[in-house]
Amino acid sequence: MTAEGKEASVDIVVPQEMWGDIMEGVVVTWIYQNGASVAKGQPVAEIMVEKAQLELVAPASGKLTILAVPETVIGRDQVVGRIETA
Amino acid sequence: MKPSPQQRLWMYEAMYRSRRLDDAVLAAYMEGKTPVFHMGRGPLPGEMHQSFGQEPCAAGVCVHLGKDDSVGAGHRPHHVAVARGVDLKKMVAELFGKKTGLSGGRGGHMHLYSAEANFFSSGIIAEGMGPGAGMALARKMQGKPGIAVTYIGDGAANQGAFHEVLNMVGLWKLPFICVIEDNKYGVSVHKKDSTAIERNSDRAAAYGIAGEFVAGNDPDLIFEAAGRAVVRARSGQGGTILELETERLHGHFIGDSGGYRPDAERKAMQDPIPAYRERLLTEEVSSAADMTALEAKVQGQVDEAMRFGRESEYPDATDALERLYA
Amino acid sequence: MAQPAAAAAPGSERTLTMARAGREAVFSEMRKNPNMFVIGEDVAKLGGVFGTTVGMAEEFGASRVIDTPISETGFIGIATGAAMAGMRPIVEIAFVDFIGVCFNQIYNFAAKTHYMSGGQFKVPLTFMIGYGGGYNDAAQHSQTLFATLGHVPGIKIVTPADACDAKGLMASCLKDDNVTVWMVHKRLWGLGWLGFPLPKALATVPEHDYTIPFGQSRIWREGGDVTIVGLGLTVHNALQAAVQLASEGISAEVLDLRSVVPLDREGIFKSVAKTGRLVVADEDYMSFGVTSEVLAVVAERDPAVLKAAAVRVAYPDVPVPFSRPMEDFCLPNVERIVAAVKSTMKERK
Repeated sequence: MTAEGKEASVDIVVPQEMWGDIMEGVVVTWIYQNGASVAKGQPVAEIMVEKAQLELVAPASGKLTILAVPETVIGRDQVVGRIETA
Repeated sequence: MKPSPQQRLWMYEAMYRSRRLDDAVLAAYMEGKTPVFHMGRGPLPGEMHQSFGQEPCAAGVCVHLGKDDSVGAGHRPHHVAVARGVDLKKMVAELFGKKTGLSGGRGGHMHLYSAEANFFSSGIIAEGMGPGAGMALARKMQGKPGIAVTYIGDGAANQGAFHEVLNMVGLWKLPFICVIEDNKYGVSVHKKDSTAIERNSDRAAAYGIAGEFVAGNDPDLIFEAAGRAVVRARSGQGGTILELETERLHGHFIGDSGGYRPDAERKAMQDPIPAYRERLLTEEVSSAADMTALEAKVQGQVDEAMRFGRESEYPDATDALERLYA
Repeated sequence: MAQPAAAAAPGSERTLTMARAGREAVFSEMRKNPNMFVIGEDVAKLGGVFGTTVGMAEEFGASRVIDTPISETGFIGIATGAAMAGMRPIVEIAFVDFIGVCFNQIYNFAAKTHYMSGGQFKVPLTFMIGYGGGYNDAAQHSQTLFATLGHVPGIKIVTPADACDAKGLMASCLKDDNVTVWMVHKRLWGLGWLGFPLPKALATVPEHDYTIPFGQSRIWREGGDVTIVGLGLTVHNALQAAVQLASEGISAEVLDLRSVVPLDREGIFKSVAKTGRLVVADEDYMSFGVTSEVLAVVAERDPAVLKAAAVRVAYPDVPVPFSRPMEDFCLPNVERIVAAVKSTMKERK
């Protein structure tokens, strides 16, 4: 819990620079399961934008919640997962 | 020797036809591959290496060639096939894998063969060097007219076959031209990181043949240098490395974003086709009306070929087992 | 792109693609062995055409992750010499079809030097190779060629079918002092653009280092009526076939060779002796291949264990055709395996 008494969470989005001009991508696979503990900087998923397969790293340490499952199409600013840090 | 107005228009038409074909093929290729890019999906599956930007290399050389000559290309063959006059409908049908294709669907995009046009292409780097020189040797042995041309990229100049074959071309004075399309990239690796010297045409000295470098991706300049190489070959003076500076406007294959290239470098690339069109109009080689009519005619041919490719039938699956042997 | 793996919290299992798992083994050995280096086309800046070397140039630098010109005979010869002089090179050949341009260096020199030198020179050289088709890449970019490489004495060849085996077998290759070949079917890498990862190709992969021995097959599914031998992608086809067959009352055992050379002859025979029926599925051309060798194992030891003639489900002896219906017809797919199993059930005994 944070000082305010709320759970903190960090969104996982595919960084803007990975998109180029492309508007849609797809989740290929998650490396950790829903609910797993992950560390900041660890690769947590593989995403495909057009033909490039890219790595998504955890923006923070904590518990992973998967929102976009593999083989689903994702949009540029879509939140694909969340890390519960508190 | 400079090109005549008819030759310049011929070259423009060949380049424009190749470009319109590549535009249509790109659109068709992406069908079934968005939003998820899966190489095996859609009406045009597999790999696809397009020729955007390299059209002058095909047009400027093939304008000099006739029915007795032979042309080989590599994994990026479309502009060469078009300039060579390969049947456009059968070529497109082959890309779609239809039984009306050049090879009945057996070859696909990298393996385009046309006995009628004396044209072949293959997918392994520098693989066409030996066969091209062999086409030249056969003509010499048979006392028949005709020369052979093989197209490779700058990366292929580091492959063993390049060196072995050119040595024999020099040794036996074969009527052979090795056209190097220097787009400065071998997939992701820049020429400066793969090649010990700056000009592959300088390597010609090692093989006792002529070498010429043409800057600028300019059909008229390519025409002149190619003309010299062709005369050399036809008159029994032997082979040439014709190194043509060109631009690979897109990635290595469709789906390659080319992210390994510096942005500034990508933005600086010039498209040779609009530039040549502008020149032909300015120099009054063609009127705007005639140019538009030419382009409409070519577009019609491309549309017809794409329609033919789409509407043709697939081969029977069991045809895969047929005609292995002659 | 890739970060060195930070320590995970306990209990965090990772499900990796085969490409990532293979990379883990390479990263681990590269960190331990300053004499190890990676060499090949598009391995540094691009991270490999199939993602085999992503992140390595960033960590180890240009002197240990080397982009080569398109000169296979040249750089494979160079890697061989370096290996003879104490280095441990990893050579990438993205498509097995490309061994044609450099085959002499592999089969006449690298593979034979230890033997021909009476053991004076070791050649600790590992090849990372992609193979296989089914996505319309035509005759020169879709081949399998286990038999071509396997036929030459002096080379060890492994072909993992899931990420867990990928890491363990790569580690074994890198630690071995011989010419080793680690081959992965292109549709098993885990790359979205070659088809989404097959569920069973993804696997939980331990963080620690481990090896899997050469010459050890793996039973993925036990059964009593028939042994289906597969390797690489055909293991997955065999598993799907086994599910279908089970619904029809046929119990199939699926045996993954994992290792082409050395071949687990004991493992093959033991399974066939138990079930009495044999189907071998291989994406390489049929004649003179892995399927032939598996049949030879049984025929040589005791053909009487067979209740029916063995059946081979392999690529027909034709070049890979481009057109989709023709290519699909040639692949050793689930339907063909199911039909092959059923044909072994028909014979009396």
